[in-house]
Formats: sequence, structure tokens, C-alpha cells
Amino acid sequence: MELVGSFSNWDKTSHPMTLRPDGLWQVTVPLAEGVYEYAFIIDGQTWRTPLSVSAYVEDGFGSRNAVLVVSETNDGA
Amino acid sequence: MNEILRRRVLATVAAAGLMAIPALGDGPVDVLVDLGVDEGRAEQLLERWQDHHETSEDELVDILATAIENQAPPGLLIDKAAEGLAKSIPSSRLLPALRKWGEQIAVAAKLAEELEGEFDTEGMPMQSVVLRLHLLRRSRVDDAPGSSSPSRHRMRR
Repeated sequence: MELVGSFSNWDKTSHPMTLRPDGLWQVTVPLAEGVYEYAFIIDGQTWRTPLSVSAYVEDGFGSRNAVLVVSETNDGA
Repeated sequence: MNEILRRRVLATVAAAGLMAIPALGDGPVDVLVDLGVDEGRAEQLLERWQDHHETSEDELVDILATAIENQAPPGLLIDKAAEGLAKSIPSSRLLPALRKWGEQIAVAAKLAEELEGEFDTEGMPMQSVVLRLHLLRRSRVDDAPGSSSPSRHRMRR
């Protein structure tokens, strides 16, 4: 599983996730203040919109991205 | 052919040859860099385009240039183009989507300029302020009375 988003110029290989013993996938990404769109890639080719996030946006290509807002006053959307 | 005539013909041929050589700095990367796009990102984007599409990058560059000239932040345009290429969107869908994105972001950029100093940017760079205004503006449109679909773009303020 890969985390892909505007923070990495949509590079499909720069942020591989690791499977934790509790079954969750994890990756740590340091981010500066800003607005970021992101999604997951499963098995290198299947795009998935993250579930249970507080903001989504249409990507303009017929799918959706999750939105993350990192600001001085909050650390997520 | 006498010597003077021969020299004139050679000079004419040489001049025509020089005119045919493209001027330095007018390649697609240079066009984008001149418009404010980071050179590394411009190169990467065009390389990705050539990897995915057999057609020329001219229309892509033209769409990006038009949007940037209309005040759309270059970084947001490159982001969206890179996203479309990463998602293997065919050019027949990618280019119209980019054109629409450029128009929408240009509107948000003008709005950000008008509102400059009137709200707290929360430490964000202007590019993110523009994107956030764009998302909030779309949320308002989607939430308007008569809107057929519920908003899926809500953002915590």
C-alpha cells in the first residue's frame, strides 16, 4: 500500500506504508502548513479514497481525494 | 556562376539556415519556467507526459500557460497535472479537466488577492490559501438551495 498525494507531487512510490501488527497501515509524513490532497494505491495500481476522513474533494477526473489541512491552529481537516 | 553571385547564394542559404534554428529558451520547459514554474517540476511533468502520452505536450503547455497568465498559481496547476498523469488519465480527459481546473483556480486566486489581509492565513503559503478558498467556494456552491447533491467537501475552519 502506498500513500500518494500533492505533498509528494503524486509520486506513486515515495511513501510506502507498513502494516502494523494491529492490522492498520502506517506511514509518517512531515508536512508544513498547507492544504494537501491524497489517496492510497493498493497493489501498485488500484486507487482508493481513504475512508473516515473529514473532508473530500472531487479530483476532476471522476474520483475523489481526501483533503488534509495543516495549519497553525489545527493539524488536520 | 561568378564569385560574387556564388557568395550571395551561400550567404542567403546560411541566413535561411540560421532562421530555421529554434531560438534558445523557447522549449516547453522554458515556456513554463518563464511563467514561474519550478524548472525541476516542469521537467518532471513533461517527462511524465512523454512517458504516458504519444501526443505532443504542446496543448498541455498551452493550457497551463493560459491559466498562469490568468493568475492561477503555477504550483497548483502542476500538482493537478501530475495527479492526472499519476492516475493514468488519458489526454482526452486530462486536458479538459486541467483547463477547467485552471479556470477555477484562477477565480480563487483573484478572490485571495481581493481578500488579502482580511483573514488569517494560519501560516499557510499563498498557494494553499488559494486552494482552500477554492474548496470552500465549491462547498458553498454545492450547499446552495436547489443543489442536487449533498456536500462532500466540507472543511473544518
